[in-house]
Amino acid sequence: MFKYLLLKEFQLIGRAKNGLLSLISLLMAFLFIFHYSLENSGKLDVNSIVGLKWAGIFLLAFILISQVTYEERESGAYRITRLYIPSHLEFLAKSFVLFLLLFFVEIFLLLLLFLFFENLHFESENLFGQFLYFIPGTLSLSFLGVTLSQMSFATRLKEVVLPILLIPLSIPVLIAGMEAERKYFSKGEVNTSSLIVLFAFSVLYLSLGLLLREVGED
Amino acid sequence: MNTSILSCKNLSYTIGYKKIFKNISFEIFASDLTLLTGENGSGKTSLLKLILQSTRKKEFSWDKKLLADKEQNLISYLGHENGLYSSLSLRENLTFFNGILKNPMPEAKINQLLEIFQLTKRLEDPVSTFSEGMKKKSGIIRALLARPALLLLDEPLNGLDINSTQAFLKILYTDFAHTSILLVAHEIDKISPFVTRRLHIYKGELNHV
Amino acid sequence: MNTRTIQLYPLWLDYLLFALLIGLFPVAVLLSLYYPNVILEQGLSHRIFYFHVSVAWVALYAPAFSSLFGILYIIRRDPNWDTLSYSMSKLSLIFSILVLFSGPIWAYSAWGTPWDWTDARLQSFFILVVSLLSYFVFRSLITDLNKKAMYSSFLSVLCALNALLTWGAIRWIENPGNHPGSVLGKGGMDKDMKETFWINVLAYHILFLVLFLVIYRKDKLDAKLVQVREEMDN
Repeated sequence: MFKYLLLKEFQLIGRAKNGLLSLISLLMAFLFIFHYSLENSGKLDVNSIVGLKWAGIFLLAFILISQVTYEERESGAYRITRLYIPSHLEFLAKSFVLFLLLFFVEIFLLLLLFLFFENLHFESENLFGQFLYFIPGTLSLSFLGVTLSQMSFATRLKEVVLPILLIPLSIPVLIAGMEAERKYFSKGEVNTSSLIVLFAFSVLYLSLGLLLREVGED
Repeated sequence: MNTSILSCKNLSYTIGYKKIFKNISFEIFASDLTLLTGENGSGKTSLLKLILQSTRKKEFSWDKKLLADKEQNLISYLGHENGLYSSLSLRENLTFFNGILKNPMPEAKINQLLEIFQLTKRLEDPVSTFSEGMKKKSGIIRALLARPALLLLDEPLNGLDINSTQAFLKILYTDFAHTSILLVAHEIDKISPFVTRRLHIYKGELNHV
Repeated sequence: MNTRTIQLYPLWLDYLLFALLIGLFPVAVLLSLYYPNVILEQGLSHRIFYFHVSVAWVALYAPAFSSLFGILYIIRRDPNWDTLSYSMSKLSLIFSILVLFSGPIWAYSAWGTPWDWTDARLQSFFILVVSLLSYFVFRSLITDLNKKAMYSSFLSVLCALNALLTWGAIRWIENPGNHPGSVLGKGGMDKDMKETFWINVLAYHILFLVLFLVIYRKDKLDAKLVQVREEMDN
């Protein structure tokens, strides 16, 4: 059952109007605009580039969550799926696929950042630092996004309401992630308390999402 | 007398402060085709959607043998929406919805249904490219996959051509003769030869006709 | 004719709170304007500290109460808890906006700029206000009353989390900016400042209670009115 669920989620995201290629094109355009407008007048420092990275991930997460929400809602398929799939499995499958996709796009995003911005060097410590805090941060965004997508079903504006919810509620995660990476790049050492905070966000949003799935049924 | 598979006692349903149902009770019996009628806005679709949650609501109780049967899907539902993912192809949709079922329908049977509804040639096309009638037929096949104990159909004949209507009713009466069906329809003349029981909703109350 | 009476509150509580408010609030305001000495470099604008910190305290724990009421709604499914949570969220927003107004007034005289984007406390308060606004926008967009209450409860928990982060901003973040540290720290304030500060804290808390009673009663009456209308329609 879970394999069919995962396969469906991958197919939905892959088949979405934007699709993976469109997301990558969007990312390239987004970073190129920043490169052209800012890098030419003065090299962006590492902290600013880190901020750009998290902004890019947030944008991608929002687009994917909106698309997936629309697909589930559009023809009532979500209601049918829920007849046979337990709510927690459905939540976990959707969050997992979203996280996996964001992870692969993040690799591409990092390559683009190395290409466009001079102050970000392609070194192993850099790569380690980039991924260390990104992984729990993206996990949090995935859980939060899937939770909010269910909530948006109940509103009149549906997916349009997602940014109203996603922006204020994901900013703490983004700030925690950026602060953690800033400390890592300035001191060169792993800050375990920052990691704990980010994983705590993931656990919180996972718990809230699972609970909401149970109590927020029709 | 057929056995009761689902009984509902004193179900009330409110949307906000507006009462849709007031303490309604009914039973669904094995192998019955029950027609549910009522005026527009009387709560027919709401009742079907409440039955979808029957395993979680204390007003409903299912036959214990059915609940214990690990190979039996309890409910399948076809609403006004066809319940398919429009960006996926018909094959992908059927593969998914069949794969998540207890006791999935054999592929030969699915192919037979596709032949009957003339959808075999459109198997690889995204559902979004289908006409309304084809979407309805696809939704019907999706609903029949589960071979459930209770099949809930909300105006399933809307948008179907004459041949498809006849084919669908024939399937219900033959292949799904032992399935309990709760059907909402306005085309009573087409359905009445098959109906064994009738329920009517009027002003929040449910009457056995 | 059928009549129903609803008692929402004990009257003596009203009299007590209003008396306290009318008695204490003007005293607190006048004290803050005239009694304690000011910090010389900041001049008279420093006196806004007595207002700003008091409303900030309320703005930070009001979301916690709202989330508590929300959690109680999820457990008990009694709409009154949702009304309580909703009323408390309104107060949270009012007091948070007051913080965002009073902070820049003070900051302009203390730092020379009304808003410092590097200051963690300011940023986090801004995020709190945005999350509270999103709570109300989202709530207004849901038509089903049960879902409205359920999802509002979850959102109130997330707003409380933002409030917690705002409280921790100057404690947990390295280089949190120019924002002064906690006033409860060691070696805090002179005696006259301390007295004025605590009287203002008390006065604004009583204001908070009074406002909460007024807002909650209005919301509860609104809910009753809708219920009675629906029952008459039915």
